[in-house]
Amino acid sequence: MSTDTENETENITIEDTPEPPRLLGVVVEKSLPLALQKKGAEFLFPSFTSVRQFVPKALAFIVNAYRLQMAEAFDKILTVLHIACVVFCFGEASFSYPLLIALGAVVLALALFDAYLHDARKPGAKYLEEACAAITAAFFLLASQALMWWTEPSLALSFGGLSTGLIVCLPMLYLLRVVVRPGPSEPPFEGSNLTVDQIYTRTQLATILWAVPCIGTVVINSQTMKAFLPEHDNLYIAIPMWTFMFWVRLQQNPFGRRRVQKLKDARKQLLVHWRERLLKGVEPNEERAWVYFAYVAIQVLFFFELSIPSAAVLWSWLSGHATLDLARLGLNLVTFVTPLLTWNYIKALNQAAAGIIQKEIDALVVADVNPITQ
Amino acid sequence: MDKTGTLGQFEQLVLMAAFQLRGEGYGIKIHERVCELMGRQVQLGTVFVSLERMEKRGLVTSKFEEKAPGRGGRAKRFFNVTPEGELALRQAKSTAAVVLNGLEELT
Repeated sequence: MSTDTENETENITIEDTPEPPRLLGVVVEKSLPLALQKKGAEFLFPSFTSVRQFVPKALAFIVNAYRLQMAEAFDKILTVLHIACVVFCFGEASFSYPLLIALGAVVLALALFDAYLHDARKPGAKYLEEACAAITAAFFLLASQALMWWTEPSLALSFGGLSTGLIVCLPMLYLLRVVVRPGPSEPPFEGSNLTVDQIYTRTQLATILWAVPCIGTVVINSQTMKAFLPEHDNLYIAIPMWTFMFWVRLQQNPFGRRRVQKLKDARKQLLVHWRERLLKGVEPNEERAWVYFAYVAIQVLFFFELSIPSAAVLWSWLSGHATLDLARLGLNLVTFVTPLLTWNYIKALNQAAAGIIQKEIDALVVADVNPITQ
Repeated sequence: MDKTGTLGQFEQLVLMAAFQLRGEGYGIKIHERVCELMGRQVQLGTVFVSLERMEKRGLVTSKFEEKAPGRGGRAKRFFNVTPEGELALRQAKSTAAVVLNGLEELT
């Protein structure tokens, strides 16, 4: 718009506008999605003439605001994972109306929760927010079941199925959301005074500390999975180990897919070598598209393999075939969840270190003469 | 992707209302103008959602005007149509002209 119009806007005299009663106003404003509370109240409240006329208008307004935020916050991958999680946890009901009602309650709760927080998530509050999301889902689930018990008990989950399912579903939803929805966080090494050598050493140390429990988990899993394929239990070590090794190698420039030159400057050569050794994931814009897809597929496969023992113990319990071995489940879950939750941080650490090493390489003033292409 | 995209019929009317109010349009005024243009009552929330979407697409901008000291009520949010918004309105106008020409025979 023109500058004249902007000046006109600044000189406008605003007359007093009617306001709903304070309590009603606060309830309506706080019911709106967080990012739209101030804007929505400004839009809606001047239309107030009487409580009777205002309440249905406010309800329609709130529904519209949630509709907008739900559409923008929708994450199809996360929704599929929520559905898979609920189906797994309440699988005792198989595919029946009680399961569908439970599913609807959880999916609706999480969609509303995401709509409420959309555009208003705070950096550093991710863990708390996702815990609140899981609790909201549990609240909606319990409310839906209470309604079913009151109105039509045949559509409610059995008490045993609900309680066991809820115990598993709540932490599982929390973990899923923490892993799949990485929130904003400060980049590693931001403002650090460490030298490049120190950064590389510490990053490698952290990566090794992360990888050792992964390998340990594979070994432990082979013991817990013996009952499934007793004559081929060596496969429980071999397959995940090969998956892990291939996944690591894909991140370290195998097949010479990034052109690396042999340089005369030893320092520069060393830095290039360090950069390539870091476990920094594979970018979607990788020159050879299959490398990225292979990396994603192998990553999913690796974490899936780590999760099998926990899922097997849980499934035996959820389906009523065995009592819950809490000690075994706890061990399985810890060994699965810890590498899963910390992987994003380790990757970010490696990426940050690779970026710092690259800056150091760029800053080296020694010119390389006759670089030899590898 | 074209930032202006394709505007729906309702969005065109909301954008036009904001344009006609020339920076003096805030929530309730734009809503009244849209109702006038459509000749019927429209839900306030629908106009609000349209304006929010168009702001995210860069077709309008908004600014809160703080209330004067001693004045009751709350700060108002005024909407301005951006150059991208004006471009979208021009595109809508030319489309409408084509439709009008094409339907001249229709009585």
